[in-house]
Amino acid sequence: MVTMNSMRSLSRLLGAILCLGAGCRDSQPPPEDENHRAGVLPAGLFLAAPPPAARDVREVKRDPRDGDAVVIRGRVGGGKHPFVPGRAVFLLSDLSLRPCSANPDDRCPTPWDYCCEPPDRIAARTIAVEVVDAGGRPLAVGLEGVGSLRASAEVVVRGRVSVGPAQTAVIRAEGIHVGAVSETASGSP
Amino acid sequence: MRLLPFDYAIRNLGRSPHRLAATVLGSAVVVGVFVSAAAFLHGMDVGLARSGGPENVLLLGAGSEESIERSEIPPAHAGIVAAGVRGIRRRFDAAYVSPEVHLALAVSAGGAPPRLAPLRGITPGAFLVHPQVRIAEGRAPAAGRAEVLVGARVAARLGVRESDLAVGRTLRFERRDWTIVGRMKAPATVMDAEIWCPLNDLMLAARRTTLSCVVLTLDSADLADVDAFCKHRVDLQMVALRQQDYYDSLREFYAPIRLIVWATAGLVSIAGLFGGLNTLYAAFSTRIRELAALQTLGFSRRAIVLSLIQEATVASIAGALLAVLSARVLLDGLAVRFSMGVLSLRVDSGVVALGLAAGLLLGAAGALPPAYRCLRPGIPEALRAA
Amino acid sequence: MLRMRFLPLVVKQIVRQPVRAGLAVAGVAVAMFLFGGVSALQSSADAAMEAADPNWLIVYRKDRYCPSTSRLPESYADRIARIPGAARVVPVRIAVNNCRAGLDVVTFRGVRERDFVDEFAPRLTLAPGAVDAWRSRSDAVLVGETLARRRRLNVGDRFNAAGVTAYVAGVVRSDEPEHDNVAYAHLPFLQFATGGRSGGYVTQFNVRLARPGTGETVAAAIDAELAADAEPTQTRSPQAFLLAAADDVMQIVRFTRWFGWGCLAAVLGLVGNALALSVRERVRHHAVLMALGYDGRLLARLVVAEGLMLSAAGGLVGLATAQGVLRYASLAVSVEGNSIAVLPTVAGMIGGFGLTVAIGVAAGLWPAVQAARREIADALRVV
Repeated sequence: MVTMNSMRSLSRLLGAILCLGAGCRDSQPPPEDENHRAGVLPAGLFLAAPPPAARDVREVKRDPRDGDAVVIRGRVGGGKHPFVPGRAVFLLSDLSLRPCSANPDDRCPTPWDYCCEPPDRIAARTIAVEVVDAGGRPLAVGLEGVGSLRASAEVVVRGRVSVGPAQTAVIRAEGIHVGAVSETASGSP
Repeated sequence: MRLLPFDYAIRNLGRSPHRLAATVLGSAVVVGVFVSAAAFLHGMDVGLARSGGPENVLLLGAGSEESIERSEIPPAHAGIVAAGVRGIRRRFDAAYVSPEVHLALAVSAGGAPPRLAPLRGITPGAFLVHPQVRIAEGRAPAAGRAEVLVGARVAARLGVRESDLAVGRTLRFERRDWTIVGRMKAPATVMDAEIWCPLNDLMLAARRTTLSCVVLTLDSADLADVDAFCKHRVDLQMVALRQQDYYDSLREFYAPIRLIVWATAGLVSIAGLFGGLNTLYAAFSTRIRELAALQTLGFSRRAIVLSLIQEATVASIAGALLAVLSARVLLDGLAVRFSMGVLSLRVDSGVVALGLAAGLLLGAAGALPPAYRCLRPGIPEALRAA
Repeated sequence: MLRMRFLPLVVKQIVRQPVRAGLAVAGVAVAMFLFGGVSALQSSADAAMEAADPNWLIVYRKDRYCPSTSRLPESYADRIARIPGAARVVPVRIAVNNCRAGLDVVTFRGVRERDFVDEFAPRLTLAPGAVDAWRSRSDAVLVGETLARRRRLNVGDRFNAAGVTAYVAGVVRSDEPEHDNVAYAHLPFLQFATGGRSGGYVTQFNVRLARPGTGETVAAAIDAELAADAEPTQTRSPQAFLLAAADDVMQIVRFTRWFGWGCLAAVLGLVGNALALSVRERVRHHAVLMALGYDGRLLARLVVAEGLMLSAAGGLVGLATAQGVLRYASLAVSVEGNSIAVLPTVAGMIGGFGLTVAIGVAAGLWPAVQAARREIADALRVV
């Protein structure tokens, strides 16, 4: 005869088995959601007008707080390849970083890598921006060329700060405006 | 079209044994040079193609994508990567992550003068991410005991005998002796000419405080995930690329050398062709009347040209066979010291086929112009030729 | 020797067989083109060794060859300067895009401004204002001529190599081959452009001797001074350093010597073959000449002259083409940051031409003997 006690024991046993199974699959990723698999960008991601009260990248990186809503402005760049092919992730650099093309007669072919600046300074003034799915994983679609997004483009991003290990911050974008933004400083202080 | 019998071409070859010997030898030399060039470049290509694992991703210091030797990564980054990237392959909780140091140091063994040899500082993870490596003798080196594992081609690199690198013998570098505890094989890869030792031991001995790279084998993750991680962690100043892409870029680096080797082989072939053409012009020109007589017997010019091509091709193929066989015996697997490593010449079926094709082409190309010249005059004129 | 009045006859004999002569000349041209390349490589390697100034020493990290593995504290400069016999110490930071042997290696040499002006600039030919342009920007480089040609660089261009993005402030020329394939940068720029973790470190120190001939003593003193330090050194003359660092490349250069001999053997074969065929075909012509009073020795000299002309013509074309191609291609073989620019020399080409002529004469000897020995009657009876 099946009693409540035996039912509880059975469910515990089943639960334990399920837990073990989940533990054994620690190398497998969590279930994907539809958007991640299909790489579909959310509708309305690209904004016609820049959101107000934008802050500089270096300001946001100075004191990042996990979950904070933020509007951040900068220039796409900070490395030779600021976009991740096949993922909705790109690098955004502070407007104070000086591209080599700003020098007269400088025919730099990749000004967005800011090679005229010291690497540590570039790292300190650059942040990653990503568009994520419900599970917090970047969407499986590249952003280069989408909505006029290109290297050296000036953008304003509305989103939330996500703070990871070693206090490293990432911006989870909810809206992106591509277009010229006003600078707080055009040179390197 | 009525063709001339094949043995007609063969009999004509025997008319002048000296000329036949010269043609065969000339063809052998030209094809030999061609096959040597192909074996050298094929060995280079295979070595670079097989050194990269298909699922492996290389993490290097930003700006060092061209050369692992220049790359610097703080040792702590290996642990950060292992914890931060989801989808790395694992086996019984061991992650397929290999922090490594790549160095070229002056190494001496067997009393020979020191020579530059590639060393790799490794952890046990290296054997997971580099499945091409197999310990053929002995065991992996243990940390803290000045032990090394030596690749099968290291003797060629150092210019010593194989017995000088037997298990139990010693190498010397960085002012100390290191005991060889194992021999490894990683055929047709760059690792076959490397000396492996425990990572911390090498870093201590070489007074190095940074890694060269971190190698990962991915499972469910792909390169984009690792790239995204590097971008999330801009502070780490690392870049991710497929290991095979790194070796492909190295292959591109050697492109000018490849071009020069092929150009040299091509020019030697052309010089040989010119010499052969001269010989065949002379050989065919003495037979103008004979060829005219064949035409009067009803054989078309096309059939005669085919027979002349057969004649020339048989001689050149004979030379090509000689060259290819010699190359297979003398060159296949020959280790050549080249650019911080060792190259193994490869005379495989592809190279053999290329050599034989070259011989065929030499024969056909060498016969056509003289054949055309000899058959150009009309029959009466040709029959009156001296 | 053959009298000049017989030369038109020799030329006519050659021209009468245009295809055979053309093929022989073309074959010789190709072989001598290859020989020209090999000869240029050999002479460039020798020149690199000889050009190494014996009044300098190179202080490098002991047992290291790849520039990225030699990291000497800049503070060593003061200690080295105090060694008796060391007149001047120049810290140099070297960055290469690849330590491996290759033909497309870019080498940056980071030096202090005053060192460049005092020690390097006098040995270089620079356009007016180039040094000032170099001084005006921290990321400016002065690029060697071979490197500039190979990478198609002009003043004002930017280029990236070895993780460094630099601005070309000028192109330098020099009689010393070591400057041809390098880009001179500012030392602090190079120290920080290559990752930012190596400030205060250099790859090597170049030490000028106070008195010639004291190299060994001063080298031993420098190494003894720094032997117990975290980064011990090995001090050698530039020649010894190049020999050790470029051992692999030198092996290949030595091997190509055999290839060069092979090219000359090919010339012998080509010309000899052409002459042998020619003599065989002209048996009756020679018999007629002998009947007209040409003796065997004169015939032999005609044949040898024909060989000389064929090989001279082919040699001239091949060697001249090699000169042009090598100068245009701007090749430089580099390994471990040391470059050997492959440039042909006029002396080398003249020497090669002389060899071709000599081989042409040698190739004609046996056919000449064969032609001279034939009896008139036997020759006339040949069908």
